[in-house]
Amino acid sequence: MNKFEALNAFWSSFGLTAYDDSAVPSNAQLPYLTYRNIDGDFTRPVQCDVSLWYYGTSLEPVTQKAMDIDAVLSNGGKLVRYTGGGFWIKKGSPFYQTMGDASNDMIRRGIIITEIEYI
Amino acid sequence: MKFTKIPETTFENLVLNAGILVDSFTKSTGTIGNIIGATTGGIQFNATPSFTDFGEDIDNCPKNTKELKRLDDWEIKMSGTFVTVSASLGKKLVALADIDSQDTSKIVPRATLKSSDYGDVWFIGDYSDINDDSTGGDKAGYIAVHMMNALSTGGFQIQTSDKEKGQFAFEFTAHYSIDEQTTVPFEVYVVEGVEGN
Repeated sequence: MNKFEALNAFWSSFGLTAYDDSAVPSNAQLPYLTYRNIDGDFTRPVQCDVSLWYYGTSLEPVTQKAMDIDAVLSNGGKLVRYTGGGFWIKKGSPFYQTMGDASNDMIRRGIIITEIEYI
Repeated sequence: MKFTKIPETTFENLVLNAGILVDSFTKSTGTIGNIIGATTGGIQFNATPSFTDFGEDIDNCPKNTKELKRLDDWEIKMSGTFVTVSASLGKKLVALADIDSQDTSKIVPRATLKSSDYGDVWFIGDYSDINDDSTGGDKAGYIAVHMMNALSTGGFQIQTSDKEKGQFAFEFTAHYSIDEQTTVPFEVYVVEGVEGN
């Protein structure tokens, strides 16, 4: 598994389909997760922004999913191995914030900021 | 480029995050005692040997001839900054102090040192890519530094700042014992994580 496959596998492990935020299919079904597919260098962390996309009137499922991700990344982050290396993913700051969507007032979006250091 | 590379075991040999200071540690089980306090800015440990070069004043003898070098002693210190404090931690930082028997919030400094003012301090940090005990049987790796007979030699310090957390800079120094003069008062353990089945 290469680093990009490992990153997709990590973001897909939270019960949502995870898409590279530049390649979301037009028929993608809410809820899903998008992430910035980004590479970096040893000792130079990069920011990986993630969005949680839900349909509805409540932010509660969005916040709950963010808390699920928080639980995995708390206490120092998580190491993910891939063929030939690994990355260390940590919570960014601010970690989580919510926002709506100008195109549809029924879309609820949560934005999560993480930091990834590729080793 | 042929020599621009890192060891293949890099991922398994990293120390990650700031680690913790505890008052006891069971190496066989990885069980920690009480966390002494929350820290900011990480923790620094230094064990610095000092040497005498017996060849220094010998004519024609090069400086730093290994057969003529002798160890004098080790200076062993752990330093950092706490952001939490309690009466017991305050007593530990003052070093020569007691908790008042009538008022357990009161720390009373004294002019004499007691053997009970010394105590072991452990630094434990996450190590290796297996750093969680899991239901799958993984055993977390760790790096541990054991300071023996540690005494707070940095005194009790408070630094506050507007809209910021108070900070308590600390320094502990390990000590030899007259009963075990050849025992250098620190040990380091580097334990790799073990993958479960």
